Amino acid sequence: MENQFTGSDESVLARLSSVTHHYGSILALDGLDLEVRRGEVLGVLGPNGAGKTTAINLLLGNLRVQQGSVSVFGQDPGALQVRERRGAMLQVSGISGNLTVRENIELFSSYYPAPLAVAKLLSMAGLEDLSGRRFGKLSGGQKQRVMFALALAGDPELLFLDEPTTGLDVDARHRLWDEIRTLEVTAVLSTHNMAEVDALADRVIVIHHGRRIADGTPAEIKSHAAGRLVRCVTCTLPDEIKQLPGVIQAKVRGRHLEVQTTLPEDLVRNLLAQDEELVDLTVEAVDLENAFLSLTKESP
Amino acid sequence: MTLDRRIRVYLLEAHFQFIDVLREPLFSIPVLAFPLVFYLFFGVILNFGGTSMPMPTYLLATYGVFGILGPALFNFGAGLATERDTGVLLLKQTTPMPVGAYFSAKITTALIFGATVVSALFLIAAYTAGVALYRWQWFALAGVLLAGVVPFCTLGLAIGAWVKGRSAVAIVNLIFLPMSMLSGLWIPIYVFGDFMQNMALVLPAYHHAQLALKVIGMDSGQPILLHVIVLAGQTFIFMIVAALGFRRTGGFSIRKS
Amino acid sequence: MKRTRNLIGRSLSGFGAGIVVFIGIILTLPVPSTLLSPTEDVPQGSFAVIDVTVLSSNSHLRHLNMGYVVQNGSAYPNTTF
Repeated sequence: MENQFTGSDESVLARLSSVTHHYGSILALDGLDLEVRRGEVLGVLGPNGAGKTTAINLLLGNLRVQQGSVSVFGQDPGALQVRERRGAMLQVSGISGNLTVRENIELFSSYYPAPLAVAKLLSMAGLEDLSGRRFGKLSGGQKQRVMFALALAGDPELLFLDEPTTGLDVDARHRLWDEIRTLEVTAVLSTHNMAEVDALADRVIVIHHGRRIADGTPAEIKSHAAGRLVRCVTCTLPDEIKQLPGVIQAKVRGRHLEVQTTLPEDLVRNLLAQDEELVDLTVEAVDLENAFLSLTKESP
Repeated sequence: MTLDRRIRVYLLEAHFQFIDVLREPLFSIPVLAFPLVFYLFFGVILNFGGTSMPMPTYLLATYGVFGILGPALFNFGAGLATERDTGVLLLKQTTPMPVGAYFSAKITTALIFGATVVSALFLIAAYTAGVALYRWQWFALAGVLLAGVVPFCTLGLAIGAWVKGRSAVAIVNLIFLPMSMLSGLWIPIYVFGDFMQNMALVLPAYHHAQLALKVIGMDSGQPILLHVIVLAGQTFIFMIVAALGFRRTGGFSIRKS
Repeated sequence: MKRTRNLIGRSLSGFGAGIVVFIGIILTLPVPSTLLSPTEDVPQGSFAVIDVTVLSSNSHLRHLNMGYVVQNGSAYPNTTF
């Protein structure tokens, strides 16, 4: 077990092994394994509360490891040498609002042994025109770009992006994606947004209730969330429609039958034909949570 | 981290924290103006006795304490709580910034604001109320007043470690204003009754004020050592309270949700 | 890098200037002209003569009264406020 961390494998920059973490009686991570390989952008995807931020904070050394082991660059994640080689964009609601963009960047640059030039950081984050503006006067998207610049200040080998575009409008989100995409850096991206991993990640792991439930390329993961979710109260059983074309999965949840399908029109026609007393029919996009539930065995 | 770089980080952290606070009118105006305006009113205008009366001299020392107390409590108490809640502390913790740089920047900022208030008070006292002190007394008074940053910053730290950012300013005010009043910073302690005077013995600002008054020979007559020991003991207690607060919140700055 | 150095320079010189101004102000403050000053007539040591117990605040009053009787030649009204 120990050998895994101490080192032969140069290509793994960071690793969580069998990590379990509680907040009081709440289980946040449940034996999670994760490794970040050099050069990749690893997406950590999961619904809110799945444990993504806990995993990131463990990798950043912000939380004490309770069970399992965590290493970054083969060292303790909180070690100074580790902090000097990585950058992080966290869910932070604000930094010094009375300092200008440039001043905030200058401050963070001073923390690192070999920081990128302030001018370069400003241009990488598209902030040249805003360098003299106070952080508190920026829009949400502009603020996130500043946080992005701060994460890059130390010219990191490993970058952590924790929900980088949460709360941004579509334009601001795409702009930040473009900036992240131009980097050539190993990164861990946590998000609940499928489109985000699709745009940025090379590899994705999906976590739910603190456990890893899937692992693959964005395209593979995305297929789980394809199609529409049809829900209704009917006497038709899941097994009767699983063979229909387009159906990805079908199950009973509470009083409802839930079917994920790529051909919702066919399915609905079928269901109505089978059961005239069908009520409470809805058809909606498959959200990530539903897609993930289909991957877990414990779903009701 | 090399020494050269360490000095740079400490310096820039203090530089930018100071600028940040200076540009915050909700902090800098009350913290600078309150002691000066109060002193002008209670110490100078309400003093009908002419220029060499002791009241302006007495109140110079106590408003000096008031002027040191404000920035120390607000910068540490409210500043720390807010920065923890917004997540800045957490973010800085992930960088190579030494934790000491953050705290020393807070202390430096409180010192600079404190020194500004003290020198302004000195000028007002000297040139509007005719207060004259020996040179060594001016220096000693300034020194004693500035040294108050240490216990008051740890008090602020203890508050900041426990309260939420949103309520921090209100809670700091609830401690700052009554303590100033009850320690005899606004009006001399000896006009209060026995009970109130005895109560004041538990307040750090009372002991600090007594040390400042000692310099000009107007203190209540308790030994210097008593005040120093009480202040040192309270500083120690505040640090423990702060440490417990940080532990409760899961370390330096993690938010639990 | 150059800019950071400038920043350090500005920061250090600002800090240094602040200290100089602070000390400068104290150096220009007035000192008591002989005989008239309250602090000059009464040596600091005289206050220690009065026995003050820690918890007795009445003695504070007495102490202060006596202090200023000695100083100014008239009773100091300690209940001005």
